[in-house]
Amino acid sequence: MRAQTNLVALVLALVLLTGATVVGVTFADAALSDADRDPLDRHAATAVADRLVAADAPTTVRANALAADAVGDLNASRVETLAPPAEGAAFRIALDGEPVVERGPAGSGVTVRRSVVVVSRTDPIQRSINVSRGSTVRIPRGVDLATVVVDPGSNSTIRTVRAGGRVVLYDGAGLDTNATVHLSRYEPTTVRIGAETNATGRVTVTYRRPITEARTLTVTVDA
Amino acid sequence: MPRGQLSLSIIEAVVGVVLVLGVAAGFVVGVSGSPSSTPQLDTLARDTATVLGSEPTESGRDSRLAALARSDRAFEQVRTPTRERIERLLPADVVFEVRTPRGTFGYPRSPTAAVGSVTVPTRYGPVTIRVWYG
Repeated sequence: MRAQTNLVALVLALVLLTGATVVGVTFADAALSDADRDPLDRHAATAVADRLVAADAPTTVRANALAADAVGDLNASRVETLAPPAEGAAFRIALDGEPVVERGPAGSGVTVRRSVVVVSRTDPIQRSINVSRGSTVRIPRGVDLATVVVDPGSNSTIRTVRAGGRVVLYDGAGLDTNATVHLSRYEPTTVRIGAETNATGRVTVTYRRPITEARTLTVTVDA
Repeated sequence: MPRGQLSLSIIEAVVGVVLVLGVAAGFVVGVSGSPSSTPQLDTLARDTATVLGSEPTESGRDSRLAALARSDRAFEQVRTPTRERIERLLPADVVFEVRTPRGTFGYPRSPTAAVGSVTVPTRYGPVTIRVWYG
């Protein structure tokens, strides 16, 4: 009788232990398979993507706005200089699926996606200001840079150039220059000349209108 | 052995179970968790906010983000172009919702999804962008 009680207890004990082992192994297996096996790849991909879209990166005009020409010039060694974690790794950088830079097979690496705009610029648009008539030039919204060439006529002095009421160029002795001025992108800008009456000469304003396109940047790194 | 006392085998088994579960718990705690999708989604939300915050609207002097919070009229004007802009910005499998003091637009949220979000202060109030895999 006693032996039989012990047998029941033993069977119960074995069932319990087996159950616990199965549960434990399942847990361990799930934890291992979920684990981040490629922390280096992830770090490198994140770093490359971060550096590519940073506001002060050579590839951008501002944060998350890639300059189309800089992106076109990108190659593997430039990416390495920009983001050292990519050194010696296989990587692929693409915009909306179109490869930009590719080195080696990075298929099994970790992919990081970022939302960016790509800024390309139109051909230069040139507008002239007739100094003697005191005309102005209106630059549309969105333009952040303009080149102003001041060429005063003989015996006349052009002292100031204003953009949207702000003085961007000034010389008390008279301007005769070729300068790049920064403009506000958030409103149209009127460029106006401050010259003495009867002044002659030519002022040309040249700008390139930016075209922004929304894209998805994907960076895959396989170290 | 008085009646009512637990069988020694059962006690041994309980000790064994504790041991095995202890080892299993070690795996659960010790192994670093899977990289959750939330940091990735947070990054996408932040990217969207950065782009919208540095983009002028068709009219007016604000960025798209500030125009959304400025007034009810500005919100109505900017909502549709902003929605289209965000749709083009985000990858195809990611959907979004934008909350402003003037109203909310975007996709209806599925309650179980992991959500990445960012709140940007503008001079007219905070704007929150939430994104998740749709």
